[in-house]
Amino acid sequence: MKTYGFIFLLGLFSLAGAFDIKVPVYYDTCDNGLRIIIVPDTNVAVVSCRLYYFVGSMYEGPGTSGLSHMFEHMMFKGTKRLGTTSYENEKPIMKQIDSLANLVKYELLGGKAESDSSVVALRTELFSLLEKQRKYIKKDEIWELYQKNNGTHLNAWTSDDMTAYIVTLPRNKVDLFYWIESDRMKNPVLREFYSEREVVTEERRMRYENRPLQKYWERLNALFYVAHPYRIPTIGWMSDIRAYTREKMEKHVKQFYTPDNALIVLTGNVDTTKARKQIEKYFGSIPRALTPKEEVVTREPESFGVTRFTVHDNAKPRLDIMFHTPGYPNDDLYKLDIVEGIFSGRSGRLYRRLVDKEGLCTDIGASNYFRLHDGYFHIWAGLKSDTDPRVVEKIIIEEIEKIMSQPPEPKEIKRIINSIRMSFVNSLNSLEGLSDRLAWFERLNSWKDMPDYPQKVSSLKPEEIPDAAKKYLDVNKMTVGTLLPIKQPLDNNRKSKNSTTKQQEL
Amino acid sequence: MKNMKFYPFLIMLMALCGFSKSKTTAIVNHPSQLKFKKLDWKVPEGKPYRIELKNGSVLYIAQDSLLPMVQIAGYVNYGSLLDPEGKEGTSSMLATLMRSGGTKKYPSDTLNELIDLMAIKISLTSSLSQLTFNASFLSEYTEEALDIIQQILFYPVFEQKKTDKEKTIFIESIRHRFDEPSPILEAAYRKAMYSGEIVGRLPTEKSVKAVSRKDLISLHKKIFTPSNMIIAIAGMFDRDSMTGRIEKLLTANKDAKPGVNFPSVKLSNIHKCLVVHKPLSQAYVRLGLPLFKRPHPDYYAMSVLNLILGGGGFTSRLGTKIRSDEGLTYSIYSHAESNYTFDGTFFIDFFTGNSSFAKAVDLTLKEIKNIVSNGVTDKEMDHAKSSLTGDLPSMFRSSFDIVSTYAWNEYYGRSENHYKEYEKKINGITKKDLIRVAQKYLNVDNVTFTVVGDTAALLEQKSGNFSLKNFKYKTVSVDSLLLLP
Repeated sequence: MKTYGFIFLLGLFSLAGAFDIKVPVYYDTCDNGLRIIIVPDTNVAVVSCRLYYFVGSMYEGPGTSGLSHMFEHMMFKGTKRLGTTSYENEKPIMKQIDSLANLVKYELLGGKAESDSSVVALRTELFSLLEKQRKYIKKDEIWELYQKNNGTHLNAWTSDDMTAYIVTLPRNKVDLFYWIESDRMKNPVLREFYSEREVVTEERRMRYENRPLQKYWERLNALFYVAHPYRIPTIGWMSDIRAYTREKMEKHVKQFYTPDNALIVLTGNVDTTKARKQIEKYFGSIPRALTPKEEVVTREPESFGVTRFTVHDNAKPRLDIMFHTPGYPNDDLYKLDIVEGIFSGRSGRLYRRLVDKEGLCTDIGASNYFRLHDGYFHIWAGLKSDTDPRVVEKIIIEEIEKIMSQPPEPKEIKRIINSIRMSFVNSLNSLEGLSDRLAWFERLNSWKDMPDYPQKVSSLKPEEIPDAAKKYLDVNKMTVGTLLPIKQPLDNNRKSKNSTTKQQEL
Repeated sequence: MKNMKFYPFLIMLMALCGFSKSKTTAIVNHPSQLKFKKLDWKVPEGKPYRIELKNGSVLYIAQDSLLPMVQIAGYVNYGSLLDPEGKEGTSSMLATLMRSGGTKKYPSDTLNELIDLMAIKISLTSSLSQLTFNASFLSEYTEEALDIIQQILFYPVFEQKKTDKEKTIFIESIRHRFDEPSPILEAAYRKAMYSGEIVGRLPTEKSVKAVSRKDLISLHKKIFTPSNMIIAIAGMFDRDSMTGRIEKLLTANKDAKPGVNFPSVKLSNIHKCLVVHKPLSQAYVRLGLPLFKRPHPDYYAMSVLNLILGGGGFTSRLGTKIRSDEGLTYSIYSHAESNYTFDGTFFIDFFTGNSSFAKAVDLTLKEIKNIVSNGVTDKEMDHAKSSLTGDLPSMFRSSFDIVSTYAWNEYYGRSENHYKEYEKKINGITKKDLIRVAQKYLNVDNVTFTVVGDTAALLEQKSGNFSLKNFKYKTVSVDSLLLLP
């Protein structure tokens, strides 16, 4: 256990003009591996308190997809001490519930449908046991405690590589965060598991089944990533959600929700010395995982051929073009950020050409998405109803080829760097936003990459950009998605009702 | 807020060197046993930031050297409620084209280039009763950015080519606005609760096409006058110089007298039960009840009651029963609208799988009846009050939070002491008040049902006393929704 941490001055020194921001950042690691970042700010009366676990859908697979997201829900169900009047009395009931859930599982594996009378009867029995257990349950006590103590921004979120439990508290009540989160880390109890599974089922229906764009995007992503578990939707596939059991979840929790896989970020009016001491007091005794986290070893194989995916649905027509990029860190990613900037914005090349000049699109943009393992570069276009996506694709390719053949103009570089500077200053303007950004860089490599990032981009030479574009934006290896309206088929040979086509061009 | 600074480096370093494993107190058995020091915090006053400029406009201004940036917001007295019949979408087009249609000094392409080059963030949006503009920029570009903002606010030219282009884009968005169920539910709800009123009218392809460049020019001239807007600005600048600069910025169009009066809008629910057919795997449901226009003496009691019934997330009664206990939905909430322009509504919104539709509605109605008959507990009321008043420190974090909140406060004609009195008003609510407003506003016999979903799957269902067939329901297709009065 170190006795003190270090202050780093998180500074952005002039890129094109003169500004110098000094923000003290405290970083330390507890003996059990728990990482801590604290950014004190005495101008506010609140503290953004966030606990991140470095787990998400990339650690899931067939049968377990969405478990991290499901656990995000379960974390609000309480612990051995929260959300219950007697955990001891709950335990035998949960055991009975687990037995019934296993019977349901075997019925379904045996080929019975969820609507089959024997399955329905078992489920009815299971839910009547849940009612029995509810005599001992104090509903949503965690939520209530935070709310009662004036917590705002109270929530949780899950992504492919992180899960976050978040609340912003008045500066005098941060101990509540330590108490609740350390207890959730030590003693989570998966009570009301099967009723919450129904909630997640409804969430998935809402997010994907009844939203054509999301449904399209989920499938396009799963086509883009051939091998890497980034192809798994964070919420999980419906069949996996329906087959979750408490046993499966407990295994997942033991593996990933430990201090050596977690990071606390506090930003706001907090005394760093006191906070460090309190974190040690509450979290210091929580043991590391019995076996270290098994990191994902799968990587995308080298891409070859063009992958195309076309959907006709009730949605605004669009075109998506995606290219594989390396995992973080990699210096080429900064060069691709310049390419992103050349393409993006109203004065970006794509908007000027396809929206203003040709009038084929309603909007267009690009995004260079950093990821721990395999990232992607994404160009998207909102199409007008009568626009042929093939024409837009051809023009986008022309613009990509221009970047490959000529370095960007100085004016473009200045615009991109200013945009990055503005984004940096903006990120310091929100406690919660700053927390997420620091955590995200820490997840990818180190929080220190956040202040270094503008400098890394601004130090690039324009001549370096064409080669990066040639290396990664290979149009013979791209993935192309088109979402077209039902009444506007691509051509006469295509079916017009909810049809999907999938083809590989090798 | 003028002297805001982060902890100085040296003081922090000394504090850290002093850190050691000193004696710590034991961890209490339950968070309710934690003892917290009193929070030494007061709602900041708005008055020190307020300046009435010579031209009649009001400015809230705060100098803040914390970050090298400037933020501005402006509230203009206008909104889509005033869009002429047959030209719905005018205010929205005005907002879009002021930003993108070029100005007297800068053609649209040059304007876009300048804005992007200096990374200025600027947007204009239109709602039913307000036009808002927001901008932020690096302080090193203050002069250039203020010049651009002045051009956009007071000298837009609405280039014909850009007007035509934005119209096409607007029409494309109209064609796809009902691709997802939530916007359909919102539109249907307005039709159901405000039959025949402008609140239920949405822009159409025809109405957007009818809006001419001339319409936009004349509307702009009428409403973008200094006396018709309130501005808030905070950031790295000298307060006195910036005040003079804003005064100069607001000299254009200063003689126009807008005289904006919003039309009266009445709640009129001739469709007691409106079902919009769309083949979906879930039903999207909203139960609505008439409320009132603010300021109103019952608003705070309704706010507390709303938090207990469905506005308080997981801990509200509806969240506990329909989501957590029954697993019927991912999201259910209630909302007491805060509307200063016309009578608002109280509504409960949720979605649920088709097969559980009737059950979810029935249980929701039972929860409403229960709160009307039995009122609330002391614990529920105290929790709701504490939640409402406890948000204030989070609302007033930055100097821009203070000036923009007070500018917005003045836009709606509220007292300068509004936020100081808020806590007192909320804490003064009694259980008797809550049961009185529950009985007055939450009568289930007055509920208007709006549903979007697979009609065949929903009409057949019955649960408890609820079935859609019990009502004189009207079913419409998505395409014909806007044909309703």
